[in-house]
Amino acid sequence: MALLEVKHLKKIYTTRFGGTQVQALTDVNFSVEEGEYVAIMGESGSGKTTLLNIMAALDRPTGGEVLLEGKNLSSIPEHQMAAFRRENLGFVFQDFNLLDTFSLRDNIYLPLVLSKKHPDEMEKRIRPLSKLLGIGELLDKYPYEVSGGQKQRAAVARALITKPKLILADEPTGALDSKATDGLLKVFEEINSQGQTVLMVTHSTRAASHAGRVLFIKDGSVYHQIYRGRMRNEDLYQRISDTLTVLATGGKHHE
Amino acid sequence: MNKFFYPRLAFQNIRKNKSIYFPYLLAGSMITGLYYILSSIAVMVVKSGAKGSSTMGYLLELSTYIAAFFSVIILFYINSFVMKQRKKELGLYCILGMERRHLSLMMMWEVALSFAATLVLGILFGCLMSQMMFLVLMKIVHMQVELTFQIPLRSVVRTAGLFLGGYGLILLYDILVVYRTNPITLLKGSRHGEREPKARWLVALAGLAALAGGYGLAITCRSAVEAFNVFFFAVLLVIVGTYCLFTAGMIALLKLLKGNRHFYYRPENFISVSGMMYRMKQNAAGLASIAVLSTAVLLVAGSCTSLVVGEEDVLKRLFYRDGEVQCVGEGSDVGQVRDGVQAHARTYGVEVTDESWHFATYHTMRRSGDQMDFDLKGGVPAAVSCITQEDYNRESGSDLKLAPGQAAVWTNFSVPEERITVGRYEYRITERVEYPEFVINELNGMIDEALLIVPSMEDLKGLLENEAEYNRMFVPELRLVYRYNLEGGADRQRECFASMAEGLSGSVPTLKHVDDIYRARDDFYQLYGSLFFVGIFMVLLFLIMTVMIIYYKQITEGFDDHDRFRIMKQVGMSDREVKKTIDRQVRQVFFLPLLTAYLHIAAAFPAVCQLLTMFQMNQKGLFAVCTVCAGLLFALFYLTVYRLTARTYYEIVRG
Repeated sequence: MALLEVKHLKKIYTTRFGGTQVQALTDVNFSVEEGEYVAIMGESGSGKTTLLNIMAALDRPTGGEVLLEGKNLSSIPEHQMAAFRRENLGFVFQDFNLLDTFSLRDNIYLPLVLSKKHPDEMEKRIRPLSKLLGIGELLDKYPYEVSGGQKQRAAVARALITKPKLILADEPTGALDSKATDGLLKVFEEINSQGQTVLMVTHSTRAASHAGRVLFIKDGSVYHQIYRGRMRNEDLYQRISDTLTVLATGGKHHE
Repeated sequence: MNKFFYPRLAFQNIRKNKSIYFPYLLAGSMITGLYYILSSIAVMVVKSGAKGSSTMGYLLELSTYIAAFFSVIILFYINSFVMKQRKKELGLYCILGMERRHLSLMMMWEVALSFAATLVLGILFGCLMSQMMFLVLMKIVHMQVELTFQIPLRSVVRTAGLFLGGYGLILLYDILVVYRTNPITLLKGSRHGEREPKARWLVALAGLAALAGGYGLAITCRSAVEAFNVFFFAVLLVIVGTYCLFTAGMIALLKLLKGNRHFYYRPENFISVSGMMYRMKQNAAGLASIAVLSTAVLLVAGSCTSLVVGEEDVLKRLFYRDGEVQCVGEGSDVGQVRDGVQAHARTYGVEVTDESWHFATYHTMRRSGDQMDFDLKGGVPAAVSCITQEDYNRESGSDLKLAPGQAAVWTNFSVPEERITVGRYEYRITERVEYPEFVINELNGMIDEALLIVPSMEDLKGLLENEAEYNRMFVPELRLVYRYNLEGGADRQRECFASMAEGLSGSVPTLKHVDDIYRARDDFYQLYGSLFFVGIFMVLLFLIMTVMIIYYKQITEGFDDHDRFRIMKQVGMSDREVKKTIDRQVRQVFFLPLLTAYLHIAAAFPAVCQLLTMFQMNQKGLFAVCTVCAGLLFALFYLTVYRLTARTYYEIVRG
């Protein structure tokens, strides 16, 4: 059984006074196996963020369903949703979303504190993580004292510390310079190689070229997908670029 | 460019920033209205020409200056909040290509519009309310005056002048802000990279010491004089302590809490503690101001109310009988006074009843132990009065039989031995008595007091001669106190009392002082009623200021917390948890000043009780009840304001 299954997902936004309707997702189908590293690509307005929000249970679909380990997200009652999200999903955002009133350590602890874990347990979990992410020295600094790349690593640590089944990353490299981007992508590869399932939404070809599989979304449905197979990152990069060109031009320029 | 461009822009700005400007304009109108009311009532009181209206008019006039001072300060304070909120907008205008002089012109129109709106609304509100408030004042001071609707031009002009000046200052401030505006930093907002506040232990400790000192002074003072001497200093200490503890002490405390892992890493404390730390950094001064203002409101309200409510008891204590005649010097004769009073009463067709009289001496002395000296060096101040056993036995219906050298005493200090020395006379104490009702006591526990009941008139004369050796400036004299009631029509009684001094001046050569309860009551209500009335105004002004601080705090914090709570929701907090956390934080922050105010009041209570004895008010219970009532009403008011403003806050946080 797949870890995550998305079936016939549909989302329609209606303007406040019921006037125009906007179809963000028409019919999205795909699944993610455990241990996979999947990138979802698409242009702005293609429905990427809507899709991510629904998978994160931050938004409800108009039709279709999302199953995590066979469990339908819509079946989880509202009051258990936050706890469910906290325990099963980890989030990494484009703008880090660290709280500026907390040190990096406290930012990373936040989900554990909410789950009422013992302080000793928190400390036990943070040690290997901070080593893996190379932020061991920075834990007692505040977000405004560290670089963007370091902030994003802290955010990754916060996502991982609950040992989630699935990491959802929304444009994680969007606010980073190229060096920090490389570093972060290595981190994702590293945690993926340790068995962590990662689902990343991006429109950066470079970021996507590190994934094991790339899905392309256009006009609210999955348009195409590429498996890495035995390709190196550079080859995958080329394939993604080609596909994006086709997507952008609608394939009409292939004379 | 259209010549109405700036006025229109200013008008639109005010309309767009409704949530910021509406309370500002409302408060401005109310402050203007209050000032106008006070000023116009001062005029109306003088115009009414009633008895005692000139003193009251003077008092009210005086208080308008104080009110003017506070009004301008409050307006200025609110305006600075408004400007803080609008900095980003100003930055945007800069980016869009408006120069600073254009912005200044725009600000000028905004201030002018605000001024015009608040003045018109304020005076309108003032005109309506002033008539009612005038009646309220007349009711409080027990005067009967016919109400004629009037709008004193003088007050309108003064109000307009004052607020023209006030808004002028505000405009200057705004222009200063515009010129110091750096558009880029303004657009970015100031929150980015805000450091975690440092714990300033020294300041925190100093605050704690100041607060403890102030509390100590207030709690330990034993007499009214002492209270009067230390009160101002104690208030100063408490204010300093409050500000220090709010700015540094709270942060230090939170740091301590944060250091405790098991306390800190719990959902209910985790977010509050660190959130509070930043909140305290930004809002400490505002919260401390609320605490101090609330304390002021409660103190003024509690003491003024207890004074006015408790007055009848004070009068009953001071006036053993409705009327009183005092004569001073050798040759004062009861028969003479009695004849004079009766003759005067007869001309008004009323009858003299319940007469009571006694001779007494009053000495200002110094006390060390049970030794009283006329020499005013060393020791503590003490007031000693003496009466004869003849007068005492007659008036109180007792049966003292004192031999020469013996005395019955009452003291408010302890005399452990059975003897007491007054000047060169030593008395053996044969009996200790309750303070006799018929003897005047105006000191009321402010300093050490003793009352001696001595065997005969010779003792009184001896004491007077003894004092005369030391006190050559004011030769002490024997005093005759004659008191009486009248029976007959109430109006005739009042007239008789009112003209008693003239009636006696011919027939009683040693006449010193004539008084009656009606005159005292009128005087009292005119003075303290006016004070009470002015107190109400001050309380209203302080309340407006408090409400405004609370409101703008909620708004600023709402904007700050908006992002924070969005993140928390994404990280895995449910809506309910977010709401609970918000509630907790807001409650902690906003009820802190109220609790502080209550604590201050509790500490100040003994000192204020002592102070009130200066106004002849010594019913601690009544003052306690009045203060508690004021406290409860204030809490209710505070809660309402909090509820109303919290709604705005949630809208901002969730929006």
